[in-house]
Amino acid sequence: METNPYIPYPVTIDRVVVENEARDIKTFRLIFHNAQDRKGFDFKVGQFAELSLLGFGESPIGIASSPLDRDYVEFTVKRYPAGVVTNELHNAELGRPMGIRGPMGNGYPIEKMKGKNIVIISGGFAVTTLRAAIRYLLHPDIRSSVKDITVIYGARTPGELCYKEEFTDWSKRKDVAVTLTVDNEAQGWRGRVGFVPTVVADVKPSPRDAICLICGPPVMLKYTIPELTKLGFKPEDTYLSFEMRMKCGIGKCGRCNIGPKYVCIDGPVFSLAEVADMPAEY
Amino acid sequence: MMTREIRIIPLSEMPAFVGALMQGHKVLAPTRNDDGLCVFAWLAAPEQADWTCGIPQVPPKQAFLPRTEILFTYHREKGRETITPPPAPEPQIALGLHPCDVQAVKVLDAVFSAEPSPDQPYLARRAATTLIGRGFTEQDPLVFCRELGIDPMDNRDCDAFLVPLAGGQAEHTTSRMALEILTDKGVALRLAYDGFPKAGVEDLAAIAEARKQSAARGVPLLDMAVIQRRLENIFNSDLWNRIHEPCVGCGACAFLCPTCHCFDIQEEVMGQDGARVRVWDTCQFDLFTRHASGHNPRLSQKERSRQRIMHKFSYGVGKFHIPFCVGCGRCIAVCPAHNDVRQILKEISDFK
Ligand SMILES: Cc1cc2nc3c(=O)[nH]c(=O)nc-3n(C[C@H](O)[C@H](O)[C@H](O)COP(=O)(O)OP(=O)(O)OC[C@H]3O[C@@H](n4cnc5c(N)ncnc54)[C@H](O)[C@@H]3O)c2cc1C
Ligand code: SF4
Ligand code: SF4
Ligand code: FES
Repeated sequence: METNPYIPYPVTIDRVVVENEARDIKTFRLIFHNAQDRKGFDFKVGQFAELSLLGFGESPIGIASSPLDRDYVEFTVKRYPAGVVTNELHNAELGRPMGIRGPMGNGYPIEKMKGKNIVIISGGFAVTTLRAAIRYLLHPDIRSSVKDITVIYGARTPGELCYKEEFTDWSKRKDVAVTLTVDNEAQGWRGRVGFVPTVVADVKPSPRDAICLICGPPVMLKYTIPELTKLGFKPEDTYLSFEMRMKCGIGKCGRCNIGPKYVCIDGPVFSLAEVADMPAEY
Repeated sequence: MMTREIRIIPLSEMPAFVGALMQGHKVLAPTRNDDGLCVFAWLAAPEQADWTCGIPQVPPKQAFLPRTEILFTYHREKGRETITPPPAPEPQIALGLHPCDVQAVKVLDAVFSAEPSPDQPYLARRAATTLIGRGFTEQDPLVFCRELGIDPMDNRDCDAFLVPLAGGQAEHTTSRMALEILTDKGVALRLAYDGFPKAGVEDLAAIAEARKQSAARGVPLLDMAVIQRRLENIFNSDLWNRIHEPCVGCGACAFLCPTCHCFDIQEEVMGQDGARVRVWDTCQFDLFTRHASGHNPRLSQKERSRQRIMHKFSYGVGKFHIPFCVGCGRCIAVCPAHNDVRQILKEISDFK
């Protein structure tokens, strides 16, 4: 008989990092109570999980750590003022027990990315699963499986850039080209200034033999995608990750569909070619 | 399906039969509530089963998908939490299902057994259930299952099936039920039916005649393939502006539909104890798709009405090759705005 897919694995909050100046984005490191559960939680970059807080509910959150971070999993969560689960999570103390269900969804096209140039574009805190992708691709065992890696990441202000130390470290590496940008001039900021679409047009990542992964707020997507098209990126090689209100995460509760596609099992990652076939109901 | 055996139960003896079924099973059957309305409900006494009901307004899906279902219970202390799965479901019988309601169970089966994550709570309840269908001869003007290719005398997918038979030649009222035993689960009810006589030659002839007459009432089928193809192209058409117009978004059409299965997951907390439960939900509600940020991809009733029709006649068929409508007519009977799914299907078929 199948196991009950609604029962979460028990985990504990092991580490909390405040990611931004507004203090409404935090990264939670979770440790599985049973080591074999971490093995069972066998995920690919770009997948997500339902974080469970007994008494409060569940939230689907993208996995922000790499599958090769074998001892833990991390999630970066934005608190919404009236959000039941995200508030409770932000109030949680170290050592708090909670639960996690998953992994869920399709993830980024890792197989297809092999041997290709990789272009990663992100804005704001939507960077979470792309941070997982960068960590994964830069792992010594994985780095040689792809060619050039180009990363463009922007936020409104320097204080709103997530994973700051990591991005700073990556900026210094030779095997990845990182461009960080903020919307307006700010004191002490030595990176670029400008919106992500403008910076993309400026940096001109090459579409040759490339797969592009892009995550960000709707306005960023709206203006960046035309820039990518101008540069020659093909719709079938450009991937983005969708968000829809979810409950079950396993294709049963019937609420996360965009047309015939269920974001929880057919997505959340779709190519622009697939998106073109979807009704614009998202 | 091979019929294992057939027994004849006089209508006056049905309470005895139902009583025997209730030994060791919970039994869901058509019954009348305090307002005299036919509904599917769990029986407290055998006499409550009502064989004069047509299609009960409340469908039988609650046997497999309870309105409120405990997914697990829990206990919380500081630094420690324990989760307890619910007890295994008790053996149960869903009795007196119209063949269209049986077809609706097939829809639920398709959704809840689908990979990558079969729904264990649903499948456990389903496995613990014996399905006893019931044939219908009378015609309800709102029921259009025949147009969807469902014969109200068809016993397929049932473990046992009741064929109502009239008494003498002149009589048209049901005097007895022929109980067809169709599967091992059906045979397992032997203790309940063993006391009733086997069908004789005349009974067999009467059953055959009832089936023949039912088949002879065939009606032109709705062309579901055409409807599905149309729907693929009219997502953005102004057809939806008309369809949603009278709708008040009450959700009754979905709650009472035997195939609608969308649910919410909620917490029920009592101090340190609690339960995670799933409850019926519907795409007709604003909150169904509203993000924590306030953004809602289905902002008005137009998108929500469209979702209901698209899910039933396009997405469901594309994915599971079975329409998510069985023609039971409940949504037509219950809609305060007189929305009629048959009319909607006609408009879609005719849409140019
Ligand atoms: C695939 C996917 C990945 C996501 N990744 C992240 C991430 O990495 N970081 C992050 O901060 N947020 C992420 N989100 C959004 C996050 O799920 C919601 O912000 C969160 O569920 C809000 O929960 P709440 O209880 O605080 O809000 P409430 O408004 O109280 O919501 C109640 C419940 O509704 C559901 N819900 C509400 N809004 C959403 C939504 N936008 N998306 C999905 N379910 C919702 C959840 O089950 C939630 O518990 C992701 C969403 C999806 C679908
Ligand atoms: S029953 Fe009628 S009014 Fe209520 S949601 Fe359904 S279509 Fe709309
Ligand atoms: S959509 Fe209406 S007619 Fe069709 S199965 Fe549901 S309630 Fe019955
Ligand atoms: S979240 Fe339930 S179907 Fe996708």
